[in-house]
Amino acid sequence: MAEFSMHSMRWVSWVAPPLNDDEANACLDTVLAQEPHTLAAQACLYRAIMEASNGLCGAELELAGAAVSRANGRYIVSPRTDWLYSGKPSLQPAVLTLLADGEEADPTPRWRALINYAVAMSETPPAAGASELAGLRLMGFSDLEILDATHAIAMIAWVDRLRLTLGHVVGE
Amino acid sequence: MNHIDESIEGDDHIDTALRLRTDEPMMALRASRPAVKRFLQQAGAAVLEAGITADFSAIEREAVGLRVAVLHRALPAYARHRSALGDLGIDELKLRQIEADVPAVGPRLAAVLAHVDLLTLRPAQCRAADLDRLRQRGLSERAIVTLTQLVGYLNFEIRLVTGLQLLREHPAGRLCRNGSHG
Repeated sequence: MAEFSMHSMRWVSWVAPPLNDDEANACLDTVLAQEPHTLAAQACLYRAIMEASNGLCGAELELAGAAVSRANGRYIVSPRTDWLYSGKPSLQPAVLTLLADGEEADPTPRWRALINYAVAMSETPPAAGASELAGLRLMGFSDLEILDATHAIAMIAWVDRLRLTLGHVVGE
Repeated sequence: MNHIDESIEGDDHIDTALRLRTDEPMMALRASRPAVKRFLQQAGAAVLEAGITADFSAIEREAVGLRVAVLHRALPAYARHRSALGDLGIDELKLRQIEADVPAVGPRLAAVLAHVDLLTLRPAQCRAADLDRLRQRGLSERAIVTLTQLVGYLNFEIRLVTGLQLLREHPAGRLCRNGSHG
């Protein structure tokens, strides 16, 4: 069972930042800036995914991403706030409540279908199959909404692998 | 900064991995998110191709790609990275050594591949000491970032391809007519 915190958290790097940067204050962005082309493309891609319009709504993009983070590790983040690490989660209240309640939470059937897809997709290899897809369709998710969810899930799988392995989170 | 040739818009490496035909509904669905397609292509180019430095070689990058593909049993990615390694002069025996449960490669690449396994399968178990093992094999701080971004990107791409394949194999119309089934 993942432990995670809703409280404000600070990310501390295990990797030295580029020269002239203060190591103690290195945030994930400064560490990643050692590969500037990758960081620039990733930041644009992240925003294109999390700010997509006319498809999956903001709360559900956030829910899909948060469900991945929760499946991956020890804390969750707010996928739709600041790119990478904002320091304080600002998930929409309904998503926060759901995640705080953990296993006992009772999401709507629509959200349950989305969480099931996100969690299955977070396994290695991804375990999402026909039944998870049918679950989404039964709850009325369109192909565009499923595409948007898949983008968000895949992006948080990427970002989590940066946050969890280039440093660690400490409570404040 | 922008390495993208406009001619490959609408036929990026994800479309290629899926062998999408231009008249398929999936092509139109992906085209409805043009910014995602564009920046995804840029990110893929950046982690695998752009800015290859002495810190982390092209062979090392493709070996990482092959290893992630093996862990995910992802056939399109497997074929792509195998072919790229072949072009870089890596023979079949060496490819199999990279793919082995316990890779039979030099100490630096062995440390890199062990880290790939950790980041792909159990990212929450990574600790500071795991990065020290990479430093002991000569990886710079930048190379550690390069490696981590590469593994992260590949874990993104394989999940995206999985989702797209799923949508394509189970078109909405059929599921709706038959009701839900597993």
